[in-house]
Parts: sequence; C-alpha cells; structure tokens
Amino acid sequence: MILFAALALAGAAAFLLGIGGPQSLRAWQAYLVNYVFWTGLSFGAVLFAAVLNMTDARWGRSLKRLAEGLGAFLPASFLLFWVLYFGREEIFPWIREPSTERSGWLSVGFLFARNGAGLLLLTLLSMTLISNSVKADRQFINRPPGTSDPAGGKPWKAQRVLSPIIGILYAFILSLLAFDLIMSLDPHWYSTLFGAYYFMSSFFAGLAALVFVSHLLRRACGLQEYIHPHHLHDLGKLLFAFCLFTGYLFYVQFLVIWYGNLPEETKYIILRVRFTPWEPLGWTVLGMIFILPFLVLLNRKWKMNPAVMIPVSLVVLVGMWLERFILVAPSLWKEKSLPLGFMEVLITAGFFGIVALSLAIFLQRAPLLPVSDPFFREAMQPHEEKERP
Amino acid sequence: MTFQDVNREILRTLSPPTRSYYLIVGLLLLGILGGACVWGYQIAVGLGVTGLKHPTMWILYLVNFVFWVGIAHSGTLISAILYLFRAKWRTPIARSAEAMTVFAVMIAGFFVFIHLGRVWILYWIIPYPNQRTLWPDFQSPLVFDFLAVSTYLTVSVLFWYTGLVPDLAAVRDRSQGIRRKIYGFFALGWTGTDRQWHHYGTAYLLLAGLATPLVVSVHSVVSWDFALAVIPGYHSTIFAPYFVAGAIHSGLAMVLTLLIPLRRIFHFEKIITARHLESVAKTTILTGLIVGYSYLVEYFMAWYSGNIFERQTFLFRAFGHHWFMFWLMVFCNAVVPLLFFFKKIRTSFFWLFLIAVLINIGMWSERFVIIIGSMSQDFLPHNWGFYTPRWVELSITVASFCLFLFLFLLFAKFLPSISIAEIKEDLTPLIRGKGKRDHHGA
Amino acid sequence: MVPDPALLGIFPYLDDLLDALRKAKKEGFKILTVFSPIHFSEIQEILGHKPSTVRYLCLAGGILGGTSLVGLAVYAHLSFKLITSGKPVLPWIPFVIVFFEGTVLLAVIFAVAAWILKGRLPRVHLHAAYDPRFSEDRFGILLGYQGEEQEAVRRLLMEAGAEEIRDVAG
Repeated sequence: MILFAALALAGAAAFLLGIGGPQSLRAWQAYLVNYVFWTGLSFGAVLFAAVLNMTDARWGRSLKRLAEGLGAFLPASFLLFWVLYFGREEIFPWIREPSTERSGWLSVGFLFARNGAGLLLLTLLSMTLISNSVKADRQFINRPPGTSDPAGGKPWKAQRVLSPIIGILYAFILSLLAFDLIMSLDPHWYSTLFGAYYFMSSFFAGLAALVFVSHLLRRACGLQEYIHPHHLHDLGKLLFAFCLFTGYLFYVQFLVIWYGNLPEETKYIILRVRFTPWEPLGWTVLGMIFILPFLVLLNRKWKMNPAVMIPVSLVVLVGMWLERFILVAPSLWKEKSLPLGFMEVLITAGFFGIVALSLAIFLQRAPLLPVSDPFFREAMQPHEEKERP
Repeated sequence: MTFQDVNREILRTLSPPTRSYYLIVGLLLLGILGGACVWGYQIAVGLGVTGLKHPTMWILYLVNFVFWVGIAHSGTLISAILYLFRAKWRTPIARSAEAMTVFAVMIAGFFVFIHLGRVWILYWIIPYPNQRTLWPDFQSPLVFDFLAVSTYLTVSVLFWYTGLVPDLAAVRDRSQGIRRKIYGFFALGWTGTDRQWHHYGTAYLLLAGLATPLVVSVHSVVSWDFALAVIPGYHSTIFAPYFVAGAIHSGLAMVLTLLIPLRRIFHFEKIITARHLESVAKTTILTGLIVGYSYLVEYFMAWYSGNIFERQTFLFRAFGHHWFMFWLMVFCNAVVPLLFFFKKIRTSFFWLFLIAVLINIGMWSERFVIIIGSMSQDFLPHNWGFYTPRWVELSITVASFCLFLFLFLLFAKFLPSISIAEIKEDLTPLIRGKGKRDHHGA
Repeated sequence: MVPDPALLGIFPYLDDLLDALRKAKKEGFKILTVFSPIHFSEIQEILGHKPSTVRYLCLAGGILGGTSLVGLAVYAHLSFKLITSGKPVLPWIPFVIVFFEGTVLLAVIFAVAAWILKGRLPRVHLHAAYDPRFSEDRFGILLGYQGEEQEAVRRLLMEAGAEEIRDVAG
C-alpha cells in the first residue's frame, strides 16, 4: 500500500512540476489521458457488477467484489475531474478560438456544469450500489446466530433497482464525457459512434483490469476455492468477446469515414494513421488491443492460466491507455516529436497509484467475496449437473 | 415432465391438420399468389407502376428488405448467442426462432429481386468468371450485401437443420410408411450414438460461435448500404451497431408475436411459460434503450456538427413531410418497450402481444423514416421530391407477411417446433436416479 | 452390421448407464456403442473420447474460405485496375468484410459436413442394435463379447440396472 501511496505522490509531483514548466501542455495532456482512461475503466468495472445483478448470472459472482473494488476509485476520480478546470485553456482549443456553430454547447461553464453533474450522479449511484453490496454482506456476517439467511433483504433489493439505472446512465454519461473531453478537442470533427465507442471500450478496459486483479489476487488471497478455473475461463471468454466488439466498433467508425472520404471527417483519422509522429503508435495500439488478445484468447487452456492472462491483460490495459492517448494527444500536440516520455510515465504511475490505493483500502475493509449474494451462495453449491464446455 | 411426456407433447403438433388450419393456409396462399401476380405485372410493365420516382430511388422494397433481415437476427440471437451465454430461458423458443430466421432471410432475399428493374439480370452480381468480362466491385456495399445475406441464409439453414436432426430422428421413430421414409431421409439415419453426439456437440458449439459474429456483421453490412453514402441522415458512424440493435429489437418482438398464439394453439403452456416470454420482454427493454440512445445521439450530433444539411434533415424527420412515421417510430420503439419495466405488464400475454406488435410497426416505420426520408430531401431543394406508396408495393408488402406466416405455419405443422433434445437436456436431473428401484419408471 | 456378437443393455436411468459404462471400462469389455436421446458430456468423458477433430476441419474451412474469397476479390480488381471513388485498386479495408464473410461461410459448411461425415452419417439402414426408444427416454450400451464372456457381460448389465438385455447377433 505504501508503494501505491508513493507512486501517487510521485505522480502528483511530476504533474505539478510539469504544469509549472515550459511544456505544460504535455502535463495537462497526460493528465487528461489518464483521467479518461482510469475513470472509464473504473465505471466499466462497476458496470460489470451491475450487469451481474441485472442478469441473474451465476458464473461471475465470486468476482463481484473485485469488480466493485475497481470502482472504489470513483470518488477520487470525481475530485480529479475538477483539476481539469485549471488547465482548461491548454486543453480545450475552443476557448481560445470559439467555434461559432457550437458555442452554446462548448462553453466552459456549461461544459463543467453538465459533466460535473453527470459524473456526480453516476459516482453517487455507483457508490450507493457498492455500499449496499458491502452492507448486505456485513448484515449477513453479523447476523445473530440462529436466524435464517436474510437473502433478499433491503440492500439486495436496492442493488437490483440501482443496477439498471446505472446501466442506462453509464451509456449516457460516459458518452457525454467522451464528446466533451475527447471529441471536442478537435471541435470541427464529429462522429455519432464516438460516445458508444468510448463507453464500450472502457468496459473492455474494466474487464481487462478485472482479469488482471482476479488472476493476481486468486493466488495471493487464497481465493482458489471460490474462484474456480471455469469462472476464469468464462471471464476470459467475456474478455475475448469484448476484444472483438471493441475491434468491431473501431472498424465501423473507420470504414464509414474512410469510405465517405469527406475531408472534415477524414482529417482526424489521417492524422492518426498516416502522419508523423502518430502513425506507428496507431498501428501498435491496434495490435495491442485487438490482434494480440484475439490470437491469445482463442486458446482454452490459456484463458485459465495466470501466467498467460496477467501479461495479456496488462498488454490490453497499456494498449487501451495508448488508445486514449492517441485520441487525445494528436488534437493538442502540434509538434513532430512524440510526447511520450518520463513525464507521462510518472503521471500515469500517479494515477495508477491512486487507483491501486483505493482498491487496496476497499478490499481491506470489505469482505472479499459477496457472501450475502444469493446467486453467489447458489453458485458455490456443488453441482450435480455438468456444464457445457 | 418425463422424457416421454416431452416427446408426446411436442410431437402431438405433427398430427394431421384441422379444417381451420387448411382455411388459414389457403387464405395466406391466396395472398401470396396475389402478390406474385402483382410482381409479375411489375416485371412486365416496369418499376414505374410503383410510386418510385426521382429522388426516392429506393422505395418500400428496400424498407421491407431491411425490415425482414432485421427480423431474422433475433432468431440467431436467441439460438446462438444465448446458447453461448448458457441462458436457460432460450430452450423452448430457440427452434421456432431459428425457423423464423430462415424464413425472414428468404423473404428479405426476395425483396432484393423485387426491387430490381431488370430482375432477369440479377445474376450479374454473382462473382464468377463470365464472357461478359464483368466483375462486381468488391468495394461496393451492395456486393457486401450479396455476400453477407447469402452467407447468412446458408448458415441459418445449416444451423437450423443441424438442430433439427436428432428431433427428426424422434419423429421418424414414431412414424410409419411414407412419413417414416421422408423424416428418416432428413434425419440422415441418426441413432444417437456416442460418436454422433460427440462430433455433433462440438459442431453445434462452433456453429453458435460463428453465427454470433455473423449476425452482427450481416446487419452492419445492411446498414452500410446507407452509411457509406454521403447523404445527410445516412452518413453516420453509429449506423452499424444501431441497426444491429434495432434488428434484434424487431426480431424479439416478432418472436413474441408468433409464440404467444403458437403456445395457445398448440397447448405448449407448460413448456413455453410466462417466464420465458418475460425474459424476451426484458431483452427488448435493452434493445429499445439502445435504439433510443441512438436517436438521441444522432439528433445531438446533427446539431453539434453545425452542418446545415444535417440539421435540416433531422428537422424534416420530426416536422417535415413524414412526421407521422417519425413520431410513430419514436413512440413504438423507444417509449413503449419501457412499459416492460413493470412486472405486471411483462407477465400479461395481452400486453406482451400488443407491445410486440407496436414494436414491429415502429421498427418498420424507422426503416421508412431513415431510407425514404433522407432521400426525399437531400442537398439541393430543386432535387427534393416526396414518395407515396402505391397499391403495387403495398400489396407486395402484405404478400410478404402472408408468405412469412404461411412458411411458419408449415413449419409448425410438419416439424417439431420446440427442440426436443435440448428440452430433455434441461430435464436431465429427473432421469438420473439410482437404479436399484423398481423398473416401472417415474 | 455388428462385427462381434454383442449384448445390448437398455437403461431407463442415466446414472445406471454411467455406472455400467465405468464398470465395463474397468473390466476391459469392448464398448461398441452407447445410445442416448441427449448429449451428455460425461458419457464422452468416461469413454475417453479425444476432443473432436471437427474444430480443426472448421478452422481449415475458415482459412480456406476467407483467403479464397479475398483471392477472388483481388483477382477481380486486378483484372481491370479501376479506381473508383478515389480509392486504391486493392483496398484492404473493405476486403476485411469479404474475408470475414468467406471465413464464416466455409467454416460453417466444413463444420456441418464434418459432424455428419465423422458421425458416419448419412446412413440408409439404422444401426442394427438401434431401438426406437433411444430417441425417447432410454439409454443403451452395446457390449461386444468373445464366447465365454457372455455371462460376465450379461451379469454386469443386470447388476447395473438394465431394464432389458438383448442379443445382437454378429
């Protein structure tokens, strides 16, 4: 934990030094990339828990608390959002050169108000979901001996009601975030799919983080009896499915823009796949988030093997970070050199430190498994019936 | 229910048809023949007999094409995608849904022929070496369409047939004479040996795994017929997932529309329960929300773009010539399915059926609004022109519904409409029991 | 046609069948066929079947289909070298779709052909030992024996809970 706190502090220091120095744009850029990456990932993980609640799925129950743990970053993320206000002149080109057609929408006050409100709402709902989940477990653990299982009490019902609301708001608020914080960096460019692309690929990133955490903590925390190999197999299959889906969404956007060949749309893509310094990065990202996971996750045994899944999930996470980078940076950074260096690494480490710290603190306070979840208890019963492969 | 009960209940429907069955089938056949005659008339005289005129060069036929391909998709969703998710509620409805897919894709294919002026040279799109020295342009979305829809037809038929083989064996074993020979032929001599099941099980899983991305790709390809053009209202990156979600939305509604009467008429109440239909209804909430999200994003982006053509297109959709279809679409697709949030409504067969019909009307309207609306008023006002459907295309549309119902009724009468083997697999715990009991069975 | 003389045991209960299978495997009797109305993976596990090769045939079909359809597209485009809409003569981006459709088409066709042919289907005459109840609610094991073993096999089936034991002549 100390390590995480140290990383967080190092990141903060690097950031503060950066914005004071000559290349303040780089610092702000890195901050923004990290903000959208980690926030999306965190909300994505909470969505996983919400989807489990909505679908009565049994297979993933033992992973529910870990997913909620990844959402523990959200309050911190909300605070970190407001720091962007101080960098607004550097980040948002439409402040210096207002875009007349959309000046009503792209104005500082309105943007921060609507995003702040949306983030507040979604963060509060997510926190309520998580706290209800933990409260249900505490009630279950602390119930007086002799009382029956309080399956389906108020906290459980609260989770059932909150989950669909979170699901719906996730789509809208993360789309808003994508439109305002990423798409508006190039104010004359637009794509209807952009919001959906952001929130679906954030879910993918959240899944990758869950894979990473599950495989890591399974050994470390002695959860082998509760997280069975076939749960990990299913999680691997889900990761594979969303790898395909993210690749599909990327392709769909790319194809329509390429085919129409309208200059106001294509300039965004051409910048990222044809020009220096972004070209090699663009294709690297594609390889990391699509090609490599696709090939690796085809194999059945590998999906259950931590020695394979931990590196693969790391590759996906780094790839997704770079993907956010390549969405944000080319709109802001106009020079020929690639702005990826020590400063970015430190700031990223800082954010990672905060996320990991939140996860660690949460898992220390809350039971590692959702013991009061009725589907979890059902899933832990020994099966008579064989499941399909 | 014992395994014997399963066989009996499901195979009961294969008994000789009643008089009302013949009557309905006869009426549908009349509708189909009427439509065929009208089509013949259109081929003979030309597409001018329809309402087709510049600039709306794609008329109701394309609307129907997209509609029927969309209907086909939820069959594969239920059959293949839910199989991969191991969702138990899929079992009693999968076979009928698969049949619905096959018939819907066939009808969609028909509309490709029907919308052509020179139907007799349709084969020009098939890419084979020919002495016309013609090759289709593999870059064109219309060629993608041809490849995707024909692949989808092939795959759905094969997937449906694969699922049917063990059930056809069950029918064969309970038939005599010519019936036994016919069902036996199609059952390929299936005897349920370990070797057969072994390869069959693997193949079924592979088919489900392959059909899933195929479904997504097919309706994406259909959406690209529009999105790859540069007309405002067509050229939008969200089209592919938006159309796929819309397709599943309309398909699920069609599943409800077909199965609610089916279960009544065939007395399948114990097998297709309210719970199964409720799960279908809940899924329509999801797809309805995705469609609603897409409407909102498209509207927002039309404004955000600042492009006057985009802005005008979306204004015209809501307040222009086809305003009624637009509001019908929004109401039926995005608003009405939200009623399924209420348990009372999604467990009432009346409401399930009514809302399902409304969703289908809404989805048809959506295709109309998108396809016809954008073409009517594009860039130059001088180029604008409005389309009114005439009796030719309207009667062919009605005939297509007749054909769909006709094929489905044939399916329901001559083939087991619920997958016998899969229902039994869900009932396995019942026949596990230890042996040292009396052998008179459960 | 069944090569050796064999005994067919018909079981109403799945657990009895699995019991009999395990015992037969242990005693080393020749398990010719197991009949079942449903797919039950434990049967395959006890019999020790290796994972089905249908998946490799399917993969082969997929690769073949994708590459050949793209090959056709490439050939067609190179035949005329036309530039349409300012796109290159060989545009890889749309060819992704062509590749995908070809892959799925042939993968599915190969998979279906594979399961049919590998199941030794289609066949005109049903298996000699087949009982129509196998498509309803009965399971069956066909055990081959050599002369003396008949009694042992018969006893094994009886003890496991066979409802009926039938001689299937070789």
